[in-house]
Amino acid sequence: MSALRLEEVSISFNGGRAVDRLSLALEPGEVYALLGPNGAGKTTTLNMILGFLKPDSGRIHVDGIDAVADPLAARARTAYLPETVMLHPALTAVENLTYFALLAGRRIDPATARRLLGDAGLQEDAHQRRASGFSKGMRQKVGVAIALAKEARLLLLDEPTSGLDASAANDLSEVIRAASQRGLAILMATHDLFRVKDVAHRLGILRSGCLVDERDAATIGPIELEQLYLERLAA
Amino acid sequence: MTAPRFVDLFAWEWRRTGRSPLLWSVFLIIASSFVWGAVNTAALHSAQEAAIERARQAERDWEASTRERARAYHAPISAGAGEVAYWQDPTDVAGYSEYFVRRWALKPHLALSPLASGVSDLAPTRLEIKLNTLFGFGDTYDFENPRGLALGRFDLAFAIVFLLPIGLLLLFALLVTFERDRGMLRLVAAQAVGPRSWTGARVLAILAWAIPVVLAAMTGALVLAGVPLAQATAPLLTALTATLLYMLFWTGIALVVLARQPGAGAALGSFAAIWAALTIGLPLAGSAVAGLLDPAPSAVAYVDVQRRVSDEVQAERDLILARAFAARPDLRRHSDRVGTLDYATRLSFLIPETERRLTPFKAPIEAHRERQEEIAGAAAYLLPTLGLEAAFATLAGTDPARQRAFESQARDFQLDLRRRVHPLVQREITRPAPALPRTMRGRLNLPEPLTLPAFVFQEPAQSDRLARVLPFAAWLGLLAGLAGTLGLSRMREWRVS
Repeated sequence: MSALRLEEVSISFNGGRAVDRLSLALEPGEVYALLGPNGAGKTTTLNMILGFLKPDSGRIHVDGIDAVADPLAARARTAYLPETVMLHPALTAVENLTYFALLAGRRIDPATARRLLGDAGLQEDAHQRRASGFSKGMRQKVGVAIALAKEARLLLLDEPTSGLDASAANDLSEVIRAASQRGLAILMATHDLFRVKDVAHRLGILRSGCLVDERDAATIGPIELEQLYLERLAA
Repeated sequence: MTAPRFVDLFAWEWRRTGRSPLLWSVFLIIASSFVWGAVNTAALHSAQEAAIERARQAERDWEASTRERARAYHAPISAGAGEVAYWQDPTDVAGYSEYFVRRWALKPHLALSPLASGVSDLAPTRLEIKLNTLFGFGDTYDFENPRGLALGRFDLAFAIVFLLPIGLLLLFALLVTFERDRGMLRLVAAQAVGPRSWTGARVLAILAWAIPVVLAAMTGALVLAGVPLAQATAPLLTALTATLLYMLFWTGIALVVLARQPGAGAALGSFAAIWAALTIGLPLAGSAVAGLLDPAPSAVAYVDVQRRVSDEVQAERDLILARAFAARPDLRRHSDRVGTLDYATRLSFLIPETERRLTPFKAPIEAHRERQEEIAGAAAYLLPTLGLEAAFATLAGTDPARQRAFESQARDFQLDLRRRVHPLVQREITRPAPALPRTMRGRLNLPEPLTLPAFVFQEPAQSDRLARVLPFAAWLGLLAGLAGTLGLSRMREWRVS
């Protein structure tokens, strides 16, 4: 069973098509990078998968569950890392993680929370510190831990490396690879061409809501990818 | 993987909300306002109780002085002394009736009176009763700061009705919208929790702190104001229940607004508009409409009529007396005495006639007041803010209905005194006491001042007061349930796209 399956999904806003007959499928352990400029429909696609938007037509299944008919059940199987992770400033990293795990239907003890934060790359001395002093990279790591704690079948990443320094972005890539090896299907929306080349198995280019190209990441080099991307957007 | 259990969410939210400095700051302000309001009203009522006690003492002193004076008028007169005017003589029944019969009608405060000042800063708690005052008693007012009266007294009821919702709505607006304003709501929504459970748990957690704190603060404020709880258990429990339902009502309103999942600014704006409409706008508009549709009869015009009627009665004095004599078999034979009656005896005929002539002009004022009270009763169900104020006043015994009962009993008391005294006065027309030799100081047709009853306010039963409040409390609960259900039913989906 596919971890994620989109079939002919379309949605319009104010008369314009934001996503147009988008179809794609992710198998467990697969990392799919959805590339495209701002306004291409990447975040709209994630919103539909999360059930925040209802598609005008088409079907979305997460781990076999109809995400349109039962968005709550689909979300229970989906982890999500937004572009900017914001946390409760008055709570520590462990408390934030415990809280979001609770919202995901999981009760985790502090030891598990510390292990997950460690897996996500957050330094140990930050575990019991309030999140109000965290940098974006640290918050992103807590966000990754929140995603991992959910033990979902599908992970959605929305511009995950945006605003991160090279080291933090590299750490995140490591986490993505590790998650993939554990069988988690990952859909990442991004315009960071070079970073995705390292972690993604497949690449899709989205332009004005249409999937205009799809490639196996192993078959294309970074220069070619940039060229292809620019060509597809210019076409 | 399943959705989180609501009880787990609530437990987490309860612990986390309890650490919020905002929560405790709001509670501190609310509790302070409760104490201030209760103590403020208790001070007013304490001063009024002191005035009531002074009136009781004055009545006892007057009674004793009248008796002492009557005894003095039994003393032999010294040679060459002038004649004593009848109005100075308590042994002259006519003089006694007009100048010595003075009683106080007193309305003591109830044990729970610090709950609400109600009409107690406007309507008198003590009325001086004389036989010939028109319609029972004159308008009596204590001196109060007119600016304070215009603004209304800061009492516990005001703090609960007006300030408590502000505190609650502030908590809801800032604590429930925090995630949206921090940009966290998408991450929250992406977990396995729906907006209904999430918002419901947060709101319930706030309430779980607010309800015991508010009810304890209310009880504590009343204790500090000197309320003997043992004597006010039933009305206090009713007031606490009404306050709880009022909090739930505002929570229901809050849920309707929060169902749109607004930011703090939008939530505060909506809450402020609703609060202002329910507490200020709609009551003012309703009052204006009621005033337009059913304007109050002019009090100035009534004063004018009163003067005109009094003048007419004085002008027709002998004619009225002649008619009164002709109408009574016992007086018919004494019509020749009409012109010789003293002022006090004349009043025993003229005052009832004046009241009879004024009744058609006074009745519309009374009818208007009754209609206004009916409108206020109906408005209580339309505007819970007005309803709760009225309910608190009823429980505190400072409501208009209790005041009207007091004034009505004061009037009945005056009529009872007239029934006891006027026949004695008028008996002097038909069977005058024999004139005494001018050896005694007094007239002595009333050797001893009468033992007249004291006014005792027949307090309506406590169960009546509770029975008047309970339907409103039930209505408040129903409104709270409806608003809460509406709000929760609209929280089906996250609005985070």
